[in-house]
Amino acid sequence: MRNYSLIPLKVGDNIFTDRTPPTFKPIPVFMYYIEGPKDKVLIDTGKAPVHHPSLEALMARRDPDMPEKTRGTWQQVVDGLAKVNVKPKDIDIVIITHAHAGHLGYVSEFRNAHFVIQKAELDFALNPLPPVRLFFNPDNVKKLAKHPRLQVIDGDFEIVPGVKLLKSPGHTPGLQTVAVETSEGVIVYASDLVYSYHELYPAHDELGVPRIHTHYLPPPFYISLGDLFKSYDRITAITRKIVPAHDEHIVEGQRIPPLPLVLPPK
Amino acid sequence: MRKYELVPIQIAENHMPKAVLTRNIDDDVMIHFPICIYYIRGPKENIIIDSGKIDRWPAYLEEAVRYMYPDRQFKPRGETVRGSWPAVLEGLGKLGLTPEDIDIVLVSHIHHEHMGYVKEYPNARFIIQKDDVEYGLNPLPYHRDVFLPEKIWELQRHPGLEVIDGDREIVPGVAVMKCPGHTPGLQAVLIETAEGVAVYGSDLINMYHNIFPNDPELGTPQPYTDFIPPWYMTDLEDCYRSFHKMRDAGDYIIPGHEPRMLVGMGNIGKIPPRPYVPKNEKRRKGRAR
Repeated sequence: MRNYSLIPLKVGDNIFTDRTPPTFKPIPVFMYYIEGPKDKVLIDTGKAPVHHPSLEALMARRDPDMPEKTRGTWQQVVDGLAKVNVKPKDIDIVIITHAHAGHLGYVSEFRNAHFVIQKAELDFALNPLPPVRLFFNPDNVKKLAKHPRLQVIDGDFEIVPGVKLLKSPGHTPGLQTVAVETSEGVIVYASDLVYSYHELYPAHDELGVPRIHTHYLPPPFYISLGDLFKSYDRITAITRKIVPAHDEHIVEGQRIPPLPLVLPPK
Repeated sequence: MRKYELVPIQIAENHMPKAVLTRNIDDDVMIHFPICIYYIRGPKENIIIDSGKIDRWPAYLEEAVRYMYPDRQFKPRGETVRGSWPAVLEGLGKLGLTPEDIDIVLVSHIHHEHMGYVKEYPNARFIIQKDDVEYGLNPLPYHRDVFLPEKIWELQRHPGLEVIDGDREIVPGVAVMKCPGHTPGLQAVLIETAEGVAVYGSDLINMYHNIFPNDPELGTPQPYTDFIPPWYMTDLEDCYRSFHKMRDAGDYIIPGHEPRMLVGMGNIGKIPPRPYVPKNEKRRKGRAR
């Protein structure tokens, strides 16, 4: 077992629709630096600087300042990486968990990186179903598809020793979660398969409206509910140590492990 | 073309964020919308679509709703968010019918508000998709809160149960069409009417905004898509394919919970002779009028 750490680097804010009842609320957006391996590995690349116009309209309806507040900037990515003393050009490997605009913010700006994405994800992102088009930034997806150092994989893949990509569809058709060997065993960064701790602890009333009928809450956007449960049950069979994508308990710059929040089952 | 008439009977009403009907769109707008059963007025058999809503919510759902709206006590407008058998009786009575007269119940899907009563229709054939029965008995955990297993068990004991798989003509001029996505076995109902073939979209098409996403009168315009899925959904791709299947099969689509069709509990509603045509859709050739 290797001794890697995951370091969350905040790259902006986003809004999402909570489930019960459906309401917009602000959430943090992170990218993760994996500390330890020989190669410098980054998970996701920040938030795209432009919103889909329809998403922008939806946000502006609620709060006119929201589109501006939630726009990603390259500077946030640079500043984030500076916290771990890394420059964007030093990054060797970028893992794209999925191609939504909040996770695939920048491509060519990482001048020496090699990108990894699932085939199902790239195919879908190049031609998304109309109802979910607004979550993608077509320019970034095209740039990624043409990238000379793009590796398109299909299924699980150990990208460096001790860091394994797990194909975990449901939220999008080719989302991949990242299983990292740490001093506390395997920890999975679940990306948007698990938005927040409420998904992991649906019955805890301090995390949201308590739901006792399910062991897992799906993210507010998804493609296939069946796939979500399959993917979730699969990663929880590997480990119960899961890091959600957009939870407020996650502290920028604070190494994982230890896990930011562990609640007893209710 | 046989001429059936589709008569909505409002048997309950709900009050929720619009985003429940149009997935993620307009979460800040609370709307009242009707829950209806439909009587298909025709020459021979008495056919209804869906069977009504019982006077309580599935326990898991009730708990969550109570938590979310502690002050509302399920009474945004009296008791109308709950269903009731008297409302069904009253509505059928206004058409000169009793539940015993019903020959066929087409269950569009078995969410609690669409199949609340079973043995109350002793003489009816209940026609339902196999995938919906299976899913209703063993749903993905997140969807456990919208089913009433006891009603599905009751259905399984009903002598009139007919489980089908796929598209089927029920009587000449009335057919069901399997349209998964909202649930794995939702069935739309095709009815030959004076205005063309009507497609009852049930909860795959909750309201007109789902199928006319770019009309500003219906909700925040969504110009990037021709379809907004419902909140409750098992599969987006199925939803999208099913919407196109409905659009191609019929001349117009009737949504399951269109707020403009509110008439009050136990009352007979009306579908406009040609359902609402949004201005920007008028020039579309022949489809989804």
